[in-house]
Amino acid sequence: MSTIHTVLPLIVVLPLLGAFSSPILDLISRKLKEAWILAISAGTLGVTGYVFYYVFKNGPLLYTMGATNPFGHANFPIRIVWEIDMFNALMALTVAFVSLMAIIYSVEYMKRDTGLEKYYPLILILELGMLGIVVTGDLFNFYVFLEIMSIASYALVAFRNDTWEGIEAGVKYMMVGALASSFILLGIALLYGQYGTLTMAYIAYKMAGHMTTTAKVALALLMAGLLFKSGSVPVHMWLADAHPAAPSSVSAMLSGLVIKAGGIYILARILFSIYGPSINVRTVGWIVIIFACLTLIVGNAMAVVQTDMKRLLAYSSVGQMGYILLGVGIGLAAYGSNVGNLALAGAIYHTVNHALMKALLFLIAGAVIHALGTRNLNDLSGIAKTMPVTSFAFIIGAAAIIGMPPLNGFASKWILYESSALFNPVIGAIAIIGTAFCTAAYVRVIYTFFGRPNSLTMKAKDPGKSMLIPIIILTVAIIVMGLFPWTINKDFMLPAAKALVNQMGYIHTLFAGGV
Amino acid sequence: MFGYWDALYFIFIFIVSFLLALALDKWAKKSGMGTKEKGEATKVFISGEDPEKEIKGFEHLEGYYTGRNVMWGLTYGLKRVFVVLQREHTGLLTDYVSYLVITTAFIMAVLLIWG
Amino acid sequence: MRGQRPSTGREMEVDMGLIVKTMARVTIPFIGIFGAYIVMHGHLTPGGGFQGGSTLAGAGILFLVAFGLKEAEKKVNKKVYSALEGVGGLVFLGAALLGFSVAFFYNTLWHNGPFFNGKPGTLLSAGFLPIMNLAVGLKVFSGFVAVAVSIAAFRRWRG
Repeated sequence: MSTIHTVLPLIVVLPLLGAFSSPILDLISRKLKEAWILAISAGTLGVTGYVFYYVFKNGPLLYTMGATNPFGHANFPIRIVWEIDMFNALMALTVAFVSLMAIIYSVEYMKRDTGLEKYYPLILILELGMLGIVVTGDLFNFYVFLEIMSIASYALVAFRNDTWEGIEAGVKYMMVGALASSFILLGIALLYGQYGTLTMAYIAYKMAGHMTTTAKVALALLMAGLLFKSGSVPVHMWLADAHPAAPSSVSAMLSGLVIKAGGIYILARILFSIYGPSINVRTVGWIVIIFACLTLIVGNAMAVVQTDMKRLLAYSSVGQMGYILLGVGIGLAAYGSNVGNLALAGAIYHTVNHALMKALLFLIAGAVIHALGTRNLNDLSGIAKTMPVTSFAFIIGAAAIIGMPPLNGFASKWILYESSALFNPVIGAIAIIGTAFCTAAYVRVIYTFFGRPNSLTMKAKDPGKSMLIPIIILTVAIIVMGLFPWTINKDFMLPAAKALVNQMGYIHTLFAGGV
Repeated sequence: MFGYWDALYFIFIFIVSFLLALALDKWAKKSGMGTKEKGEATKVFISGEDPEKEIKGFEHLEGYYTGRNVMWGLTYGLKRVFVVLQREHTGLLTDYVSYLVITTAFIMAVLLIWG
Repeated sequence: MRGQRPSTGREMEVDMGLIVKTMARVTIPFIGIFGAYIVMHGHLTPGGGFQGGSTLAGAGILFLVAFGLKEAEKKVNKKVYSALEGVGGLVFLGAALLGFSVAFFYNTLWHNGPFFNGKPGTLLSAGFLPIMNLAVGLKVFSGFVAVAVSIAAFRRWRG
């Protein structure tokens, strides 16, 4: 029983504690509740930071629910396990960090809203669901956390229930999201029926050499459901409705984290750690690549013609998910080769970067809405004169997402271009075209911001401290991460990619398990 | 070595290109017919929108310009693509569901045939 | 209701008449007892916290429907119920944390606890499971009642 095993469960215990206790604290005082929620969220960040440090130093980690080892008296794992390697740890750290930023931001942003006794528990439950997804090593446990996350996000999308937009987007998101979740559940059920276990690593162990048609059908269902959850074209349309309709702090979490933790992360985990080389990696890889190319062209192109700022950002999220999917697809199609590992490292790097950048951009969009009450780009000209700090942060975020050196977005995009060009030059060209559209979309916003102020924007001013601090922290994080791209790639992203590709290591961690 | 780049290189490249641009500017001013430093020629001109021009009947739009018409060339050139894309984004729940089902069917077919 | 008489949009506020109220008075205690039974025997028989809690909430909703919103609002404070729901969650979490020195969700009451460690099949067995069932029952009951009262209270549309 070491420190790490005491600390690790706090990843889900802390947000649960915060979510359940906040209605009770709400009876006492609102200030106290907000301070408590902030403390809980900061504590979660601390725990994930410690777990990340531990995994970085000591390698993969196994945690068993309810006992000291996953086996009991049987010779196969019967308990729920959590399995954490570099990839999970990195995702958990990102999730906790961006969630903390969103929660700090919402203290001021949501000040004028009612119904906050629902808002804070929901946002903590959303964080809990994502953290659960990224730490778990059990398929059904993953499904439970996925549903926790999804239901919290349905409710948060429809949080502003005095507008038709929120209700409509929430209902649509819930209907289609529930269908996608049921596909995922069906896939899990088929796998359980075929292999008789739900532990991911043990399924991988049983699957090696025993690939069946059932498992392939299960993979198809899981992939379709998870591509939906990660907002890939042509099942991205809910995203463009749901993300703009939510309050901006929630949009930052939805766009920055939910589509990654509940979509890309678990998709990569299933494709690499469960199926891995058991299935024809070239076919699966090319399926992902086809969806990725569609996603990055359509998402970025649709962003160009939007006039609604948050909708533009949402479509841009779709486009950026295309890059991440592209990295995963190439990593799979060129399984185990140098190019594949590099593409996968680029995908993981871009996941982290995009979480920071898109959270920043959505928080800025929220600040603009807070100051002006509109998000129509045609009404926003000349904001730079009256909201200088926000506009500066927006330029940094937009430049990073376009992939301008020397910001962090360039590093990850460069790795993705390089690996895709090495894998297949046509795909590299498609990736560049996607970036051209992305640039066009953001140049429009930046021109608008630096236009001549109109009567509306003259009255705007920079938001208060609680909204400005997360924006500044995220801007600084983007700049600083851009300064050490080579170190970050070599020390964090490549080991994470290698941990993901190393299926034998994943299985071995389970069998060597126990505290 | 894969994926190598350094922020320092871009600062070098920026300095070099800045010096080049400065030299070009100096050279152009010296060899040209003289640059207009005042009046119409110095006005910022973005994508066909003149900020000080008044249009009859559109006075409420006068006085500020936006990014509305930036990238009009791209939007105009790819008009057909955008029209098709926007037509597909109907916002109908049934369409979302059909796309999900089509995606599932596609992936399943490919996996069963070549997987 | 539509087509029979014009709706006032205020049906929820008034009670449903003497016959229904009398029947509700008789049945509500039985529904409550049955719900409590399902919750308490969650670790022995089919059912458990969620099912029992829903049954209990059925009693609450029957009260709301039969006696009307005005009567129900005297008995149900929405804030208190939402806090009670939080208490249910916290008790569940606390039960899961009892065996934290070994592992999260370790059933220390069953292995070496002072109570709830009787012979399997008896009421006082199964460690933290009865506690968790009670917590979930409380959470589900208070959540459902709060939801039903909110739906009745914030109804905005007409007929």
